[in-house]
Amino acid sequence: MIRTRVGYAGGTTASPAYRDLGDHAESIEIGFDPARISYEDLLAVFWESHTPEVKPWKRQYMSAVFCFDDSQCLTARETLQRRVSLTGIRVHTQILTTGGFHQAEDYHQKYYLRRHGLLMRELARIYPDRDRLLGSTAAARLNGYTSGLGSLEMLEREIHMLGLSPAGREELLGVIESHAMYELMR
Amino acid sequence: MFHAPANPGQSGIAIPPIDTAAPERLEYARFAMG
Repeated sequence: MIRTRVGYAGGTTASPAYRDLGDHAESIEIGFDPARISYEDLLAVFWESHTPEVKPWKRQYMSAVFCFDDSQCLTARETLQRRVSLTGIRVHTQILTTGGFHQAEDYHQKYYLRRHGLLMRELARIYPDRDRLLGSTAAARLNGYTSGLGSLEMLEREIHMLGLSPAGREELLGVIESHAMYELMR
Repeated sequence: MFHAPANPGQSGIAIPPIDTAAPERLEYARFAMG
């Protein structure tokens, strides 16, 4: 995963905003290196990360794959068909051709990371430009870790690549350890 | 679309290694997950 951002897609409203989404749905855009992960692998995570069999009660919360080209559409349809064959249940997730993406407001971006002031300040020193900060791989990785994804082993392998000071590293390790502790106690 | 930093080190602080190792190809995927 190289970069991520959240936004609004799938509709026709010209300038959607969180309080005025129009006919768009809340969406995510992922920039990825195809040499390291395939689109099909991403789709596998996608199908496991939502409940395609549940009909959305509002278009804002619809489930969809917005494909960029014929190849992505074909792969998406194949994986959808596989899902239906496996469960025998109708899937409400739609396969649509992407019609543009409207980046959501700043306060929605890197939602988990922004709860950690020290980590955000360290990234802001590296990237004074807000868009560059939010679009950096470091921010995407840190957002994942602070949300509870990733393991301590994974973090230890790449913590030296994230641009953090010793204090920043300590804070991040503390976050991961507290998530691991929480999982143990569940 | 986001772009890689055009002026690495503009802040005087080194760009994290995880950001400087840009892949040869970058593709995009978009999803809505209910």
